[in-house]
Amino acid sequence: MNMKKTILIILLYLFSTITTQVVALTGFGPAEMFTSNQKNTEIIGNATLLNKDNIAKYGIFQLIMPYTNKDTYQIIPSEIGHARVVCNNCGYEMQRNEAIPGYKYGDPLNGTCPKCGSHDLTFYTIIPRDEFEQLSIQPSGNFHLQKIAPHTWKTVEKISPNGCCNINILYNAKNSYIPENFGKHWEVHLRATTATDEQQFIMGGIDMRLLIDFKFPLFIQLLDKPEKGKNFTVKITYGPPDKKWMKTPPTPVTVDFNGIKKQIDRNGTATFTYPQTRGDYTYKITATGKEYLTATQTIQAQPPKDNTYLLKLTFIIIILCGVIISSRYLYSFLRK
Amino acid sequence: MKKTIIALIITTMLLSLAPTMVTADQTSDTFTITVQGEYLYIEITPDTWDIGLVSMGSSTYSNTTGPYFTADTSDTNVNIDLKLQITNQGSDWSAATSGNGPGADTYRLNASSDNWVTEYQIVTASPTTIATNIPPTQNQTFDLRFDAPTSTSTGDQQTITITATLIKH
Repeated sequence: MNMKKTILIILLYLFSTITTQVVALTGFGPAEMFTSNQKNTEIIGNATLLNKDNIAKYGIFQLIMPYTNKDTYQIIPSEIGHARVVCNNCGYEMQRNEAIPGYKYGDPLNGTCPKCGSHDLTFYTIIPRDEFEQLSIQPSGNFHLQKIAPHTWKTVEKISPNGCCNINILYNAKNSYIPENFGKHWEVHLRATTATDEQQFIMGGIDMRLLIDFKFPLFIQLLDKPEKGKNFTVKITYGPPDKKWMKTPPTPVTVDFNGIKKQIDRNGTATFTYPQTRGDYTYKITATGKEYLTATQTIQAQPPKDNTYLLKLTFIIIILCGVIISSRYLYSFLRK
Repeated sequence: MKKTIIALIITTMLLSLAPTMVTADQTSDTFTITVQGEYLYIEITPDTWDIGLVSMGSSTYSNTTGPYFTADTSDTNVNIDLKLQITNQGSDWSAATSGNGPGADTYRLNASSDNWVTEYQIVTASPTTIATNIPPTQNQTFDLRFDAPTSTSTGDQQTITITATLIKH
């Protein structure tokens, strides 16, 4: 009986679905996106999926933590060498395997740009799971999306032949402003595929590299009241949007006041001269830095102090005091 | 007379230069900037592989039983990498995890883009890069090998789905 069963199961059918159409005619752009968390919006980018097939198809989008096991979130050593590296000197884009020849997972991230020889490189690492969970997508056009699996969305409507579907990429960074995230560079992949209702053996898709630089907001504080023709100092700090803590930026920040640019000193301050003008105008102060979200503040010189008003007030007070004292004397005199 | 002729020739030459001098005095000019965005495009043919009947523990190559697969990237304008991932491993059988071979109800799928000089295991856990730095407009072929389970608990047909993706190198 067992022998019979074994013979039976030795011969098995393994079929894939038999369809004749071409599997994938899919376009997706941009090919790569450099972005960061934003100050007043969750939208950090947008992308377009093109259905270049001659039949209508659904669009499927999936956010992926690259180079990791999707079930255990453990890094896959044979794949991590493909992570993005950017040269800060010449802008050349490469992979870890190119920046560090013979790279093995765990090796220190010290590399050389093969184009200009610079060692000033930005290594994009895998996004922490806590942050990955804050990423999502939404439609930005006429399509509707339904979530069909964790981190996976499918268009409710089919994309017509040669039609396209636009999406927004969202990052809810509300609870992400923790010191550990300062200056971090993360790589995430957004996969886009098109599909019919039929099952296919091979589906074609495109992975977009989403390269996120996590940035903290800058804050501008005026240490002096700006007065025309006089110097005033601004102090720049960074921290979470609710200002639970604020620190002096450890990396360069440039402050721009009325077209004059100055870099902050080690105390986070910069001094400017307020323009001497007859009219009262407003001026913008802007603080920018590579690792930070830009801050802008509008200022106007304090109006000149009204000395006449102060004199009048003093005079009235003296008169009032005189009247009170005189009435007391008059009252005591009349009682006698 | 000779002097007059020479003077006339010099004057004519100077006058002929006059338009050039005016051009040199121009304070603005226009020029054209051309720019093209990076984009990726994929078309994979064919989309089927009818493996048919397999015996337990055997291996089947796609190019001997059927096609080479081709990733047509002719409309892509940047260097790319090609990745494969099993996105549906079958109703009763499962794909071997990374570094492991076939077993009971477990098959292994490997891929090669260089006639099996190098080969990569395709798994469900993550995409596996099988070809890197493919120049724009160059089509990339690849072959698959199906290593059947060593034994099975079912005789039902199994349907597997692979997702092939391109990514900017």
